[in-house]
Amino acid sequence: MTATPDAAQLAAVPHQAPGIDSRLIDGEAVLVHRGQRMVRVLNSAGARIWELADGARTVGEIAAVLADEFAIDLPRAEADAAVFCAELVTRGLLTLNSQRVSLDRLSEHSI
Amino acid sequence: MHLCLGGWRLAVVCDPPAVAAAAAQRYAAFTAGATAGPPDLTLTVTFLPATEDAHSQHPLLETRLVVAGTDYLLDAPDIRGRIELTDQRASLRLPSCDPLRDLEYYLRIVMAALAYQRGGLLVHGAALVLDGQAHLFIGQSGSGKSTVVALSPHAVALGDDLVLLRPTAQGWQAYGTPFWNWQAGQRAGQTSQGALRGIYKLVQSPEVRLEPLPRAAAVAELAANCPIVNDVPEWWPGLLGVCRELASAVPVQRLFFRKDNAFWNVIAGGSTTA
Repeated sequence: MTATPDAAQLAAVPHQAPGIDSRLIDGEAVLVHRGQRMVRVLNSAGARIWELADGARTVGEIAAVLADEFAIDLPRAEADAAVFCAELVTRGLLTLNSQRVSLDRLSEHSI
Repeated sequence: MHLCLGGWRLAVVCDPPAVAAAAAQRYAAFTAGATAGPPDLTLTVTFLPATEDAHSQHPLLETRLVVAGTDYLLDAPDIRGRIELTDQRASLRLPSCDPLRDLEYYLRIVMAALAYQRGGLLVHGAALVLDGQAHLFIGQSGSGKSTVVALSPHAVALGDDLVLLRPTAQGWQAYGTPFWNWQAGQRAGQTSQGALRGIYKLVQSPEVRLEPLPRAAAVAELAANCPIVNDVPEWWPGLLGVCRELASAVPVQRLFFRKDNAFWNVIAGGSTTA
């Protein structure tokens, strides 16, 4: 069973790491980590998290969107989003920040 | 020496002449007439003497393409390679203990770059033509590509290692290449082509069946099987785009197969199980 994320985990702001090329295809996502020369595919929920990880939303806010769009309980969405973001951080695909980035910074990482 | 690979024409100038003569023999099946039209790319390759212990056996294998403006460099100690796609020329100069094999590696690199620039792909896979339609089998080394070819003596084999794909007005076409597994040799028919009907990710299994691959996974598989091009970070966005076009135009499926030719029943017969 997935552990309930704490407040700090939900307040973290995920951001797509630089050097990642991504394509949304039929609701799923293909991610390419240029440095690692790795290709990964995210399912629809993962692709949505990836899409929302723009450096402007917290994990908690992303979970709220998932709960609404995928019709799942908020606690479960929070747990899933926290675990998924942590996994992508481990794989070098996301960074977790304590603050939101400004809008002009967002454009630096758009693909 | 003028070659025609995947419908693209290469003029290859090789020095020393003895290597040029050996190369002409090696690629005789792909030789094109010099008067058939201007080449898409002119290659100048110069091999220098080398000692066995001076270099790794095939240094080109360990050398990546690096972007330099609009050109691409093969930059490693003692290797000077440049591909200028916009000017339709390429050059290579290196010491070599095995010039014919190094020439082949260079041709693979150049063809991957040329195909990509023209909207096509050089794919790591085996391809077979049956009844005029081409079937492409992809998978990691050891997944069964050469086995599929060996199990299909009734089909025309375009290759067991690298196959050229290019979009045409009639859809995607698969073309044979001389780039076969070095140990396996080649089979008659390698210069053929066929309309690409299906792409199959090989999965060894006791049962024989087809399973659709979701589009995103198909794009990822195809991109992962485009050597050389997927080693150039700057090409990734475009590579994903081409692979998406291909996966949209041609069905990509997992083929669960065992070591007999029963897989043809599900491929050619249209059934999902055998």
